[in-house]
Amino acid sequence: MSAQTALDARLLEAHAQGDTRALIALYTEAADTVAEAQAFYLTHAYVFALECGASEVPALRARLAALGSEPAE
Amino acid sequence: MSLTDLSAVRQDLAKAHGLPNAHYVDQGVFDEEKQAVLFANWSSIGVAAQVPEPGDARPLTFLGVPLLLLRDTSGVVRVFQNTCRHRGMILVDEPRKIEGAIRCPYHSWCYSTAGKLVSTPHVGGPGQNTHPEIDRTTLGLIEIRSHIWMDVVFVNIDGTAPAFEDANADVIARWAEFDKPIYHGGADSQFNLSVATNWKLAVENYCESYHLPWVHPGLNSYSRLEDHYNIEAPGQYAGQGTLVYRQMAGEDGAAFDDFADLSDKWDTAAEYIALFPNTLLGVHRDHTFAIVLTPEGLDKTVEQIHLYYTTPETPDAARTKNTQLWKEVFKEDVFVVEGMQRGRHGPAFDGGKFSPAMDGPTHVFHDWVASQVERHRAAPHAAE
Repeated sequence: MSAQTALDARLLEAHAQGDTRALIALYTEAADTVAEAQAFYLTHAYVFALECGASEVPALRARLAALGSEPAE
Repeated sequence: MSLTDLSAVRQDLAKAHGLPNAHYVDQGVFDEEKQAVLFANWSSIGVAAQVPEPGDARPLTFLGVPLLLLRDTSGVVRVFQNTCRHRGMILVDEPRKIEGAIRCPYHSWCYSTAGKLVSTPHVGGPGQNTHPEIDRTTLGLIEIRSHIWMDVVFVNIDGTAPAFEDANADVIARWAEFDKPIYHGGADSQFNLSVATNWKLAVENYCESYHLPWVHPGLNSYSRLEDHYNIEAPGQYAGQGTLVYRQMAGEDGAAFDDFADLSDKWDTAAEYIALFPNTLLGVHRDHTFAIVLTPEGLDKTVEQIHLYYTTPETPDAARTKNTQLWKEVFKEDVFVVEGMQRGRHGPAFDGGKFSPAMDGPTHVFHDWVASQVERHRAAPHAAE
């Protein structure tokens, strides 16, 4: 199983479990792994971080803003 | 739908008749009253104690309108339309704690608990979360005008009513001595009754003391009919009062603390007021209660009863006994409000003849409902 496939499986499992905290970590990992889809995956990490009020929100938002995906503060 | 004739209702009490049957058995009139009476005024939908902690969210439906009652992270109780501004998806499906943002389960637009739109993922394409045409500042949750009084959450759905404090200035002043912190008695101090009746009949029965000796014979031993008085504030509220309220105590003798600094009148007085349209309130020296009437259809109403005390902690025995006492009283009323509903299918019933001595509060309510319906009919939109 490739690393990408394994990550996909962990993501699906986290979705199935509704494990929002895991989704934040896994989508951040995906963003760091798949450069061409960095903004896409960071967006998902950011949304789930927003949903549960996670401490990662400011950092994820800053990364998305740097990519032009979220408005600058 | 043919418009009902309300002229007999608007007569003075001695000459008036009650609302025509159609106001209880006709779906078209029910829909008209929904707009004219319930959406245009301050209707209750629940109590703030149902969302005690910041982030607590409770979805509910009021006459078909999906609402979200929540306490935001700063502690303010708010009511929103429970609808995403994007595709109209229901946002919150069951009571739960919002830990951070409200995420729409469809495309994950996110809102703060204050209603601000904070995230629009992929709205400008994959990985692009902004778009020039998506102005987040104009796309927050639609907040419904709301007000808390005696812990009851009131909403004015159509946004046209005068400010709550202005609309209800008289009753607020009347009960100013009770304007002190109150504490919900908790899980054993709330119950619901589902009744097969139009919501108005629950108001009407609550307004008057005429029925007490017949329907609540248990009250006769200490609270006789002559100990009661009518409360009539035309255009605003109606109800009844008693002069012989006896303080509650449990089997162990433990009682509730009184409200501080009440005038002597309240040593033995208690009052029960229907705040139009759908809220029934009671005050006593040592406790209050609120009944939120939720119309779930033409002939189906849920009565949501909540009991409050003057202190956060109360004696268990007295509290559970008090709940039981009120539950028995309110259950005794069920056959009456359901019977009056069935009775209104008799086509020759003319709205009923009021007792000039005893039915004043009921007439005040009918007259107010009629005035609201007439106002609605006179407005330009009614003709469209």
